[in-house]
Amino acid sequence: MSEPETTPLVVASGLRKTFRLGARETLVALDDVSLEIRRGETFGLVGESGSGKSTVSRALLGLLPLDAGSVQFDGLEVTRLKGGELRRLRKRMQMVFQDPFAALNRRQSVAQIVAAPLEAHGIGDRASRAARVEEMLDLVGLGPAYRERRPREMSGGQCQRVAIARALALDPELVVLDESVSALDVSIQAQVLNLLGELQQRLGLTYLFISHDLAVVRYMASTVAVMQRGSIVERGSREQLFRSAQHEYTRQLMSAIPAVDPTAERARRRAARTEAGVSSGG
Amino acid sequence: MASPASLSLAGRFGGRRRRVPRRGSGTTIAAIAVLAAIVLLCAIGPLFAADPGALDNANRFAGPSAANWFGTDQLGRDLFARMVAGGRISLGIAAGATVVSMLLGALWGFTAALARGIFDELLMRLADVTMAIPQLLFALVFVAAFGATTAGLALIIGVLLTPVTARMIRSAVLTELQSDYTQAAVAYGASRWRLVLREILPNVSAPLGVQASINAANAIILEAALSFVGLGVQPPDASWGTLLQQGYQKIYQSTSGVIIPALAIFLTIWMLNLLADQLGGTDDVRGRTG
Amino acid sequence: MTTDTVLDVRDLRVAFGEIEPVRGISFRLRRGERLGLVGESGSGKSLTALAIMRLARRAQLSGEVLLQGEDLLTLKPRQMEQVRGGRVAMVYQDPMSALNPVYTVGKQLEEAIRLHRRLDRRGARDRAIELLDDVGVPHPQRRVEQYPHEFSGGMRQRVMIAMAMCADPAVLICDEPTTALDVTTQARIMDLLDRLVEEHHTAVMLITHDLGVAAGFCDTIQVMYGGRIVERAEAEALYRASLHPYSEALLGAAVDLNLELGVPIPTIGGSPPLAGSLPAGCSFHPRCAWAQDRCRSEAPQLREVAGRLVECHRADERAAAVKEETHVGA
Repeated sequence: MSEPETTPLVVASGLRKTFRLGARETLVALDDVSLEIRRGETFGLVGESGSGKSTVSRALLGLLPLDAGSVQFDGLEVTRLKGGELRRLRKRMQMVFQDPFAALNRRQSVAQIVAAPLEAHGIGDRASRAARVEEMLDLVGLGPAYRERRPREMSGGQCQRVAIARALALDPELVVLDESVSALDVSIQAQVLNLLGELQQRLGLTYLFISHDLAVVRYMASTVAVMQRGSIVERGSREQLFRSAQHEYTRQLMSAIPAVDPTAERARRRAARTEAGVSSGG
Repeated sequence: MASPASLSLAGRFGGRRRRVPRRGSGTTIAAIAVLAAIVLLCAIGPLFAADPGALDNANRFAGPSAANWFGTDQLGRDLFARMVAGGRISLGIAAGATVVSMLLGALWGFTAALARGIFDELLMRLADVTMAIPQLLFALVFVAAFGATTAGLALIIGVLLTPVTARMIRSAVLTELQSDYTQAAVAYGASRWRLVLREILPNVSAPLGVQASINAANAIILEAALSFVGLGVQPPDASWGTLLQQGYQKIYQSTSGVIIPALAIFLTIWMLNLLADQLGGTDDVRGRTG
Repeated sequence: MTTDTVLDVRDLRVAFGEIEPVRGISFRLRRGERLGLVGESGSGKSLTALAIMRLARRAQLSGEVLLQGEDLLTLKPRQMEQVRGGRVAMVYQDPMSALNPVYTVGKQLEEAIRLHRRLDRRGARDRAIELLDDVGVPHPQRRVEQYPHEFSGGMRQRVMIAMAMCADPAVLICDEPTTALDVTTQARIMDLLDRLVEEHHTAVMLITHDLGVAAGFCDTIQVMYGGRIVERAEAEALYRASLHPYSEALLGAAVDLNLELGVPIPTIGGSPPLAGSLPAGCSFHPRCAWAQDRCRSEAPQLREVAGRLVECHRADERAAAVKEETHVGA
């Protein structure tokens, strides 16, 4: 971790977003969400499906118009930027999606995919872009042999590495990892988590790490926020949060994570069951 | 929002995509080969066929022979030569109409999909209205108003096929716009043009190809129908539709005057539809390995 | 002991033409036993379940699947229909796609009940309500009138479990039953399965990629890799020390709340092999730190080592190492 700087990289305050579901029904996806992401840290955002955690990520990147609230990236108000300015800002913040197959254009080769952001911003000439692609692929542990492959000729883990290479090609400051390891197999997930940690150290990246998996968030993030039904219910440093969670929901989430150990896991479930029986049941 | 169902998909269905052997690629090749043969025959036919306008009163309603492969019509004209000449007109109109409908439809569909809102609504309701009226009726009105030159017919038929095309292209573009890879492109800062040309267009090429094949087939049918009722290609020019109509009038003297143009129309449309089916069915499939 | 065996799978193979994703697996399931089948995608674990149910489409099956002594692979399709949902039932990952959206939950349950039991409509409805109550769906009288989309994911999975349990099957196959659910819901579904198995003495085969879920539920665990069972052991023994290098890698790579922070997760390189392109010899050797020349040329066989089944040439050495370690540790 680099030493803390005075100004956070991202400051979001009072984010509010509602979606209209039908004639009368509305869904409050974000309800007064505020957060700060410091430079060089990994900010973990955890919540179950429908908690609004992905909506946060899209709001921060200016991919989603908000009903209210402000998002400042390095002092720039994201919500007020338009067109070219927004596109230029997007160079500095990148995203890696959940489904590695869906996030890559199936008609393009790996080299084309990784070079696309460079082309979009008119960076470099053909030769320098090719060199950058090679550098990026090397960075994520894919040899030059992968340059001409297409997404369907690769495994999920390899595709996710390509997506990471693409995200890093523009040398961004913030990388939003939205469930980026959730669709991967156990051993591949571990590989990608290690890679992400290594890249952060080498490049001084700031991560917004979004996941439904509290155990993975604990491993990755130094600051953790827990979301439930569109609001952040608890936030704190990893040590704080995992040692003494204050909010009931955080504790519930924590006690629901299975331990990879039969003795511990059985004890955990017995404890959870008696607690559930005492409180309310299901 | 992360849907856990899609999340688990990769886990269940194997982490890898496999190229599934394209089913019926033989059929695709066969359809293309037959269509190419028809086009080629129409293109180079005049080099060796008789003069389609030459009258031969002594040789009316002749059966197929070495000199007249398909026989002759009521004026003794060589039917093969007339089919070749007619094919050039029918296929020419179909090609023209397809190009017109695809260009206009793509413009319309892409605009509607990208603009959304009231503009999209307006364009699509307009498409609904035009689709509610039978195309043939529209064509009759247009032809009556503007007359029937070959180029005019191509344009009219092309315009008539545009609303359906626009609707299809709009929905294909909307699907792609919601996909993660276009979201990713927006996130890395791709401009709107880049998004359309580099990301979306290649991915909708398969449905575009399908629609083009369908449009070509529909154009041939529309042209034939118009010509059959006498509003299409005018004598002395003759499309397959005109030939069919003329053969139909003399059906008691000779059946080949009906069968041959009908067969040509049928074969072409069949092959085009076959092609449309194949193009529609050969998108990439994620192979199941787990 | 043999009379206790409800499911006896012998050298089961599943092939699609040249490609053989399940390559000869054998195991037994006793009454009331909870067996875990763990592995990554492409390991053949789901296909094993589908093959037992004879639901693997266009697949060529060989070997024997003896359910209470009767070979399911030789049954006629009509007879198999009676077995499915009767003596063997299955719970799927995605309960939404397994329920028909145009019928009420009650109707679907009733139908399932009446397929295997002689009951009139009234009786079936009462039984449906009873079953829903049993799987913890609140207000079952009201809920039977509702459609699947009115149920949450967890409640839908409860309905699926009720449906699977309606004929009191001897074997229940659960294929990633909680993968599509949130963690808090997952815990409740696993509790429910636990309770049902205890009450009905059903033998359960739990297929999962989640080693935590398997740890909490299973007595015995089989690790699958490349279409083979590479290790079968008592859950406690396996998690304490696994003898197959792949099981060890898999367990090491799993993330839970006790994972050590600040250091890389122990992991292995490469990715699981595709069924069509398995390496020669042991299918794990390209990723294995223990691989020797023998592993590259000769495929190991599943054999008993230190009270468990392992498919590894070097299992004895590894067992000795583990033994020493535990002695030193103790």
